[in-house]
Amino acid sequence: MRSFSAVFFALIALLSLTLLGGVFVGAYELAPAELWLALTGQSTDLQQFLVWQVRIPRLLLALLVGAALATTGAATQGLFRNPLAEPTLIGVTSGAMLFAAAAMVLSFRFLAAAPAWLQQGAVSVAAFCGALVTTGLVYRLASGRGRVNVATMLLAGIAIAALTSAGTGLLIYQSSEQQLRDLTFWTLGSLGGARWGQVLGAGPIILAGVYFLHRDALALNAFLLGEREAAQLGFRVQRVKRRVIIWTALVVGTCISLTGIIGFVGLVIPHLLRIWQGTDYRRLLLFSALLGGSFLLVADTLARTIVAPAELPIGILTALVGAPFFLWLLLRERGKNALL
Amino acid sequence: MMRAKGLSLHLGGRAILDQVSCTVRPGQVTVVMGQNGAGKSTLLQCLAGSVGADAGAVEVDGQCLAALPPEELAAKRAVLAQSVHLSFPLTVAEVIEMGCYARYQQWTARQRTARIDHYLTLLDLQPFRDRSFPTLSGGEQKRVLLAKCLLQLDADPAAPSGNRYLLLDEPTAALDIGQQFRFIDLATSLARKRGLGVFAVLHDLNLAARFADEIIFLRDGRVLASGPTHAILTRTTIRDTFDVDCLIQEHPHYAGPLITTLPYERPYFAPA
Amino acid sequence: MRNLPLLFLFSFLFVACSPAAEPVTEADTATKTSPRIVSLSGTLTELLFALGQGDALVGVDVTSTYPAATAELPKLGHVSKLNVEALLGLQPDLIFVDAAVTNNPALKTLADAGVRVVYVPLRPTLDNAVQATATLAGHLDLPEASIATVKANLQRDSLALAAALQGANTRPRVLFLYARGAGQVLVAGTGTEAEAIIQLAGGTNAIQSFADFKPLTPEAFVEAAPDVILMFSSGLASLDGPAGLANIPGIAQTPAFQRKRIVAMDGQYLLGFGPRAAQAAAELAGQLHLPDPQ
Repeated sequence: MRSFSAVFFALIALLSLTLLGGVFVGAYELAPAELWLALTGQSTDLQQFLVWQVRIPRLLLALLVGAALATTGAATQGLFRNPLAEPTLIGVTSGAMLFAAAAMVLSFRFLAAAPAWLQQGAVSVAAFCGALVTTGLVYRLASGRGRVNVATMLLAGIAIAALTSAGTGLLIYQSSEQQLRDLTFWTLGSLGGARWGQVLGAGPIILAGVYFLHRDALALNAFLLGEREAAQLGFRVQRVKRRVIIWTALVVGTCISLTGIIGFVGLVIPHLLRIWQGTDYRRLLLFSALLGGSFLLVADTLARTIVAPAELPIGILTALVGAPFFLWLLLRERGKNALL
Repeated sequence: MMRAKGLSLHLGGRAILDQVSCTVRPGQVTVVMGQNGAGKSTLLQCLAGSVGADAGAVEVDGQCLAALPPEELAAKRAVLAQSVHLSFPLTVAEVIEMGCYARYQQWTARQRTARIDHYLTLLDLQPFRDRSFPTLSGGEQKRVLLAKCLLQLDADPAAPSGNRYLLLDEPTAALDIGQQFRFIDLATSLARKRGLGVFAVLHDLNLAARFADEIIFLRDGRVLASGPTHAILTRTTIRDTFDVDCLIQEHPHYAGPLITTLPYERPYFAPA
Repeated sequence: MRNLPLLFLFSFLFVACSPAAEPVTEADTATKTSPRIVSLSGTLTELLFALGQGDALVGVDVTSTYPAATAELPKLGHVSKLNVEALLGLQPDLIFVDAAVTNNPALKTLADAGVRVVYVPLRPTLDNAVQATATLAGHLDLPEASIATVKANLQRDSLALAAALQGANTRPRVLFLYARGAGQVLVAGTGTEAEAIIQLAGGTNAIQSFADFKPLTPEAFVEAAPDVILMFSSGLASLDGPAGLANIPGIAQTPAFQRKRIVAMDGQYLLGFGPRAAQAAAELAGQLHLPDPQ
C-alpha cells in the first residue's frame, strides 16, 4: 500500500493528463499551434467558440459527473454494506427516468404554450425533481420511530424502481417514434449538451457533495462493521445516513438531469480503488472522485471521436470498457482475496 | 460504577428483560450467564446504550446513560461484538484505528499512529499490521477487536475522564478451547490493569469461575441469582439456570471450583 | 466564460484586419460562392439534390439515404445525438432540419456558434415537396425558377397517380407494419405518415382505433382484416421475407397474407414525402389496385 500523497499526486497527474488530452483531441482537428491561438483568443470565431464553448465545458462536465458518480457509488456501497449498491438502489435513477420520460412525452401537450427556456429545461428539471421525490419516498418508507432501516430501504428502493419503471413503460407506450428515440438515447447518457451554464450550475452542487460525503468518511468506515458498532464508536448514525442519502440524491439527481443515465462508473471505480488501495473511506472517496473524473473524461473523449462525425452514447462506452475490466479484476482477485 | 435499575423490555408481547438490576464495578469482572434467549446479550446492549429499555434506566457514574451524547459515551464504554462481518476488507491497523474515531480531531496523525502501534505491540499483533482483517483467524480477529476497544477506552493523559467500561458479548464464541482461555485471560487482565469495569456474557462455567468477580444468572429475562463468584456458583443456581446437574470440586491446580456438568437429570456421580 | 467578450473583440479585430475572410463570415459577405450545407433530414436531403444543391452538402444525417450520392457524404448520426464538434468541423453555413425537431441542445449550441439553423416544416402531403423546396430555395437565395423542375416532376407523377386510381372502385384496407425483427412489430394508427400515403394511394388504413404506432395483439390483426400489408423493404428483410411474416401470431390469418398481398417499399421513398412522393403514391396505388387473380 503506497502512501496517501504518492497516490493522490499520481491521480492528480492522471486527471491533468486526460484533461490535456481531451483539449487536444476532437472531431474538429486543431493543430497544437491553432489550439493555442484558439485558447488565447487569437484565432477565428469558430475555433474559439469550438474550444471555449464546446470542448472545454464538455471536458469539465465529464470530470464533474465522473467524480460525482464514483464518489456517490462508493458512499452508497458503504452505507448499504453492499458491494453491488449504486445510487440506483435508493430510487434516484428510476425516479429521474420516470420524470424525464414524462417531461419528454407529455411536454408537447402541457408545455406547448410555455416559454422556450422552460421547454428546453423541462427534462432536466423533471429528472432532478424525480430523483429527489423518489429518494424521499424510499427514505420515508424505510424510516420509522426516528430510525432508517437500510435493509428496508434497499427493498423499498427495488419496489419503487419496479413501480416507476412500470410508469416509464406506460409513457414509452404513449410516446411517438421521435420521443421513444430521445428516451432511448437519454438512458444511454450523453455529455453532448454540455455548456458553461450547466458546468457552473452543477459544479457547486457536485463539489459540495463530494466534500460533505468526504467529511463522513470516518463514519462510513465505521459503518463497515455495522450500524450498531458505528453508533458504539460514537457516531450519530441516523444523521450520517440522512446526510449521505440527501447528498447522494442531490448529486446524482444533478448529474442525471444534465447527462441522462451513465452506468457503471459508480460501480467500477470504487471497486478498482478498493482492490488497489484498500477500503479506507478517507482515501476511497477522494480517490474515487479523481479517478472517476479521469475515467469519464477518457470515455467521453472516445465517445465524441471514435465514430466522428457521429457520436456514440457514453453509457455504451462506460459499460463496454468497465464491465470486462471489472470482470478481469474480479477473476484476478478471486484467488488472492476471497472477500471482495 | 455502571448500574442498571429495573430494566424491562418487551418485544412482540414477550418479556426479554424483566426488572433486571445489576452493577459493573471499575477494575472488576462481572459475568452474566444463562440459557440461550435468557436476555444476556440484550442486557449487554442495554448497558451499552444501543438498545433502549421500556422501563428502568442505566446510570454511568451517576449520569443517565441515555442522556449522554454518543461521542462522550464512546469514551466511557467500548463493546466487543459477538461477531464482526466486514462488508469490505480493511487492514488490521485500520480496524484498530476506529477506536479513536470519537476523538479523531483531538489527536494528530502521529499520535494516532503511536497509539495504534502501542496496542499492536501489546496484543502481539505487529506482524499483522497491514494484513486484511477478514484473512485473520477467529482468535486473531478477536485480539484486533480487543485492541480497538482498548484504544477507544485509552485514557486521555491530558484529561482523565473517570471510569471506563468494557462490554464483552460472548467473547469466546467461535474460538477453540485454548484460544477461549487465553483470550479471556488476556482481556480481563488488561482490563484490571487499566481499572476498566468488565461486563461479559460467557457460556463456560469454568471460565466464569476462574475470571469473574461477580456472576449474574439470568433466566427468561429475570435475575435468578447474583453475587460474588465463590458464593453464587453453586449446584442449585446452576441447576435452576440451566436445568443441568453438576459436580463442583476443588480445582486441582487453582484456588477455586472445578465444575463438571451432567447434562441429564439422572446423576452419574453420586454427590459427595 | 468571462473572457468571451474579450474573445469576440479579439476575433473581430482579427477578422477586420486580416484580408483572408473566415468561413463563417464568408457566407454573409460573399453570396456568389455556394454555402456549405448540412441536412439533418432524409427528405430535405432529397429536396436539396433535386434543387441541384447536392454539391453544396457537406454532411447528412443517418436518414439521408437517397440519392446514391449521399453515401459519399459524412454521416452525422441521428439528429437526437449530434456531435457538435464534428458538425462545427464541417464548417457549415446552413443547417436544415425538420421543424418537428424541438429542444435539441446541440442545434442550439450550433446556432450560438453562428451557424444558421433552419427549421423546415414538413407535412405528409403531395405538395409538401413544393412548399419545402420553396423554403429551401428562399434560404439559399435561389431564383424562383429553380423549383420548377421539382414542381414539374411532381405534376407529372400526380397525373400518373390519378391514372392509377382511375379504374379503382374499392378502397382496400391496408395495414402498415413497422418491423424490426419478429419481436418488435408495430402498426401504424391514425395521423401517421403511413396513413397519409395509404389514403393518397386510394386505400384506407386498416387501423382506426388508435393514433401513432402501437404493438398489436394477434386477435387485433385478425379483426383489422387487412387486404394488403404494407411494409418497409428493410422491415420485411428483418423478418426474413414474406415467409417470416407468418411467425407473427395473427398475421397468417389475415386476408392479405392468405392472398399474398404484401407490399414492401423503401422507407425514405414511401414515407419521405419528398420530390418522389407522387411517384411513390402512384406505385403504391398500382400495387393496391391489382386486378384480383381470383
